[in-house]
Amino acid sequence: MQTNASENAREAAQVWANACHAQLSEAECDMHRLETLITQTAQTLSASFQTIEQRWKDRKAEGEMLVDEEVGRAVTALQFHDLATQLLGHARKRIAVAEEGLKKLTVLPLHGTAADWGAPPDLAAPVGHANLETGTVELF
Amino acid sequence: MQSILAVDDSASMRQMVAFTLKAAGFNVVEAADGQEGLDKARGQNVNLVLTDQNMPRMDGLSLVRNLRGLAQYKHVPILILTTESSDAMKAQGKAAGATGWLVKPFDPNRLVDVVRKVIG
Repeated sequence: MQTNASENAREAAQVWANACHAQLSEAECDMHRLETLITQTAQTLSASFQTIEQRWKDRKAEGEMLVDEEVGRAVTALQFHDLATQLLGHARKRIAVAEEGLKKLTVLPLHGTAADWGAPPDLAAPVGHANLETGTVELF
Repeated sequence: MQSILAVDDSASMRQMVAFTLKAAGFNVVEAADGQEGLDKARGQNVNLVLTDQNMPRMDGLSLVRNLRGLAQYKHVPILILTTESSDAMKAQGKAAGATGWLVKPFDPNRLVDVVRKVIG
């Protein structure tokens, strides 16, 4: 009886240890995506505004179309704020799960029962983008 | 002038959508979540609804279902504009009655093309 309880607790501890590792790895990936998005956004906006500024100075008729294109690129790049906010929110949730897991791993092996462990939550990642390329369009 | 209801909890995203669609000649009504979108849709007739999926109070799929339950929005195009890109979520959108699924970030010219196509 005592051995079964210990084995159950060990298995539960292993599940939480795996969950902590997975959540921290995913949080690291989210941060990496975020860093890539921020870098690309800064580069895109900088290039767009330099082009717009130059065309504005030149005031050439043929420059108008290029200005439109650059404004379009800037509009796409400015959407990074929404993507970045979502990535940060999910990274925070993953870190919270890992923190909870580490608390359990610290306390429960000594004082808890198998029932105290519970199951780690399964967190999906709604933002899969690792760059600022535009997304797909699907009409039903 | 045709009216579009843009629903998104991100102010910067609403700003980009409104900037793009106003420049293309549409009137844009903004809402910060599904509940506000539903309230604004009830209060006026819009020609198209463009909504995010993940929002506080009411998400995009719930907004679609609620709008499809209103006689005035049975046949109005509803596009979901979201970071969600899984086939499972798209299937839920289609089942709820959405007209199409657009994954962020959007290209302004492409968004205008799609809006003009579905609005008829």
